[in-house]
Amino acid sequence: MSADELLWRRWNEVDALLAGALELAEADRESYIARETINDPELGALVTRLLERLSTDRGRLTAPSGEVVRAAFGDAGAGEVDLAPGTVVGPYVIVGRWAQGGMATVYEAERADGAYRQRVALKMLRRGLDTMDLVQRFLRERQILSSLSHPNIARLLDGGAAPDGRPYLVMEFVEGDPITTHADAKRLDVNARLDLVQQVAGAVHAAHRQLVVHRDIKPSNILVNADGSVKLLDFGIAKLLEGDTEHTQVGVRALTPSYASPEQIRGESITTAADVYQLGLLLRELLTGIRPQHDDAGAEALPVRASRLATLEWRGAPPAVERATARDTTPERLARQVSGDLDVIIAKALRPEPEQRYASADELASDIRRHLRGLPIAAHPESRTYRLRKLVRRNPWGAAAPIVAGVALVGYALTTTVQTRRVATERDRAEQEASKAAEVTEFLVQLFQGANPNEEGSGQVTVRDLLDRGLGEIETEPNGDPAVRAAMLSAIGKSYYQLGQYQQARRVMEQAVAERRAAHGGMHRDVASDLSQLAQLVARTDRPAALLIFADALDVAEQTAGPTAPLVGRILTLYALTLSRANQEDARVQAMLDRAVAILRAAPGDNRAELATALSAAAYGKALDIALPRMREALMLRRAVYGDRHAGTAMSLSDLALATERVDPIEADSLMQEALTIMEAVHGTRHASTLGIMNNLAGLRRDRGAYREAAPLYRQVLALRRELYPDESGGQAYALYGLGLSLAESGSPREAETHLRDAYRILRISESPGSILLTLTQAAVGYSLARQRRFTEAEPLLAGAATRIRDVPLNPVDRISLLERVVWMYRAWGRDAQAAGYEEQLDHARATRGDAGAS
Amino acid sequence: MTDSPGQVTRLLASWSDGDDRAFAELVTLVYDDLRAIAHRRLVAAGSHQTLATTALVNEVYLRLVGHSGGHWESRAHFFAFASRAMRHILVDHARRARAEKRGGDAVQVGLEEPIMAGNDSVADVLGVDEAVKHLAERNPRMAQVVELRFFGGLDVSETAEVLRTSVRTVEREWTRAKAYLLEMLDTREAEARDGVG
Repeated sequence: MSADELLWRRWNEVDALLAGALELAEADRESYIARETINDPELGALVTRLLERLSTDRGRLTAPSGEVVRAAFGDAGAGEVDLAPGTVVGPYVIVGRWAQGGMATVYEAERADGAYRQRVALKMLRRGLDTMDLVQRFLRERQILSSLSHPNIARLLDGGAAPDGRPYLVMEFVEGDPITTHADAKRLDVNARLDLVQQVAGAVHAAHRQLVVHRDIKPSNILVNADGSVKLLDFGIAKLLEGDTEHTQVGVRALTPSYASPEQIRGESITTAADVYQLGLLLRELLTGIRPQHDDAGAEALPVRASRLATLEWRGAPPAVERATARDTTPERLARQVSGDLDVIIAKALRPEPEQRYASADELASDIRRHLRGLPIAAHPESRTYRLRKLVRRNPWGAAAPIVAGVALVGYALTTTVQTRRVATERDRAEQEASKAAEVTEFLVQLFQGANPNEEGSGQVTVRDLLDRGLGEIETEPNGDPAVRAAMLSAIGKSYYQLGQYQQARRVMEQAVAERRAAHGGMHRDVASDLSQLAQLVARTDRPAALLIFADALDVAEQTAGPTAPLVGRILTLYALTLSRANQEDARVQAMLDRAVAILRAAPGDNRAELATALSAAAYGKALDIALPRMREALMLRRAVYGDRHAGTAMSLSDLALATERVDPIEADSLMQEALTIMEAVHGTRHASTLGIMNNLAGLRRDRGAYREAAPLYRQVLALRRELYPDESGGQAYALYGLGLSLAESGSPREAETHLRDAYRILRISESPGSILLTLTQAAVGYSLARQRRFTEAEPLLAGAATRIRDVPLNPVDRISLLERVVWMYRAWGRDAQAAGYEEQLDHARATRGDAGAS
Repeated sequence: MTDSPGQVTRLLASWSDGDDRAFAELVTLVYDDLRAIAHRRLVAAGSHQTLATTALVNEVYLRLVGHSGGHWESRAHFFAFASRAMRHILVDHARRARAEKRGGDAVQVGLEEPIMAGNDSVADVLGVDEAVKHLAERNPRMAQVVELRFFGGLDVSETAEVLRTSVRTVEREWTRAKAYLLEMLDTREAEARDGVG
């Protein structure tokens, strides 16, 4: 019997009594215990002893002894001198430490039994990590390796346990570089790199046939020999697909975050598809030199069109030119080589849904082989564009007009701050060049502002000339202070942006980012600011890529400017707006915007303009009672900062108009007209922002049934968009949709059909299959057919759409008009019974229209 | 291996949600840092100095999770984790050292000093570990207080924050825990001397 048995047996009594005694002054404790344990001397003696122990303690429980800690950690500084050279482990002698993993150390060793000399890699679980979990995982690796035999997989030779019980395994010694290092050092071109990936895929496939999933395929686990052959290593977190139950769970979380598949990150069950995904990442990295990245939620791998990465500048990655040089080509040629088949192959391997990827590593390898031989690849060309574009997901609010407003709105957050800066005095140009970068920025902006006349039209030419000339000067003078150059490029890029010259702006901003990094290193707040500007530009054509850049910008901003800096608030706003259009992470978007508003309200200095942007964004998709005050505050702030004739003020008016629509459509119309007047005065008609407002005005008119007023506006928008922004098909689709519906309602159903089918074709590529906008467009095509009395063709489209939207959240205006069109079709067709059924739904929709949010 | 603060934060969260598997993952992620930093501090300290584990834990935390990810939640999780990890590493090491002293011949290891059971100035980690296990059966939170204070080196107010309770409560529980631990340690040592058990 243990002497402290009494303590455990009567724990509750002891603890209560001790606690009570400790509340008293020391002098009173003895009498207290005596009183409480008058019939229980055993208990009293124990508590008295406990108190005595406390009073005589000399700090024994302050901390573990330094010697103990020293012994446990003492060898850490020298690396782990766990197995010194010369140590004998079984029949092997340690030669030296080769590599250090998280769980295990790999030693170079030799067979020591004299029979023959063989160089081996001996992998041993690290000291201190030999807990049951990890030992079992380690043993599983041994079991898995023993089942594999393939020329491209490092072979298991032996295994055993060290005298202290730690398991070890002995493998073929592979001397070589990680696959990416090897490929860059040898300046392998795209085809040679494809050949390497094909070898890896073959090894992975062989493992799959033994029911082994590797789960950690990444460059550092793939070495290339001197003779150019690939060896796949480290099955440390591999998984057996069958008969591996409980212990699999240990490994579920073990992963390399940047190289993990979406289902791995979500902790879902893992199949061979996870390896296919990682092969896709490997392929993309080998071809473009960009390592996989995740947003800060960690969850979403964002597959980016790989060819796009070839020309992008990226934090943490070498410059595009350098990357292309390592592939024996130029960025542009690299982009061309990767676009097409390879884009499709990578996209297919990187599908977020495991079942949509290549069914096996072998299929991936065979598509690579077909590409190398110039044969058509198996990934079906018809679905190719869909696969690439499906990344561009839709806005949850379905209605077309506000989306366009949002796109334009984004443009004002950064540029307006630039525009409102003032330089006090004119300065000599030469002096400017020698002065600080920020001053140069202001100089250029002022130049731009000075040259921008109040009247529309002709002024733009002058400004463009000025910018082109400035850019030319910078580009022809490669020397000079990189910080100054970067600042000038950044200012010029922003100015192009403001002029709506997006392609040029993007090119210049990419260069500015690269120069900023050259001048300041990656971690600098100017880098963050430029990255966010670049992301806005990229978002116009490649939203997933833009999100990556935003994440990067936010990261840099938080680390350099601090988490509550206005810059962080600004980037959060833009990031959230782009995110809200990329998918439906509404909660995250709202959290980001709330944070942005809080930051900008609290930050010192004048952040009214940025706050207005954040407020407008935070009003989106909100119920009217929340949305309207935010929008009014935003409008008030902008009027105060910019005055009445400014694009920012116009955007606020537009937002307010859209929010007011359901309450007062006529008031909404006049607010929107005011916005349009301002925007035309500021930017002229040929500008994306003006087109956005015009599209909004058309939308308001269409919504209240003024189709003949809406149609000409849509036509104007469409024509200008096609001319000015031919690459941005999304904007065209919205205009086509609006125009088509207006025409269908105003007696031109045949022309309507043409436009609506065009819209559908564009949206089918850019939207995901279940998308509401796509469904609405399908319904609109159906309606245009019904209006031509082609009822049998119309019915499946219209009624199908009505079924699909039944249980999804949707802007009530859109729901009601869709149902109205279905009812109209059945009435015109003389099928009253069906019409009556939909009328019921329609009544319900009308009755509940006030419940949903504003948008 | 420690390239992702997000990963550490997520693991910390799932560990504190009761997922013990995350602990092993965290140890593999954090072990190198913990060791390297402890080593550096030990070199700076005198030989009989106790280890200022709070500073150690803070330094590892900053390296892993960084300033930006530093909302309190994850810092609390990290303190709790680091204390557990510290306990784990020290106990593990002490246990092995004891096994080796008893004649497990073994691979050469770099252990210079013996573990001092019964040294009257400092409690030995194996004894405390045993005692804390007993304590945990009766009062898990009191056991956690010991883990945070003794192994993690947290002060009373940090401990209170991790446990989301008041400083006063932590002080009370820590005092009682000490009484029980000292009782258990002394009993064990007396038994060892007298050849009992």
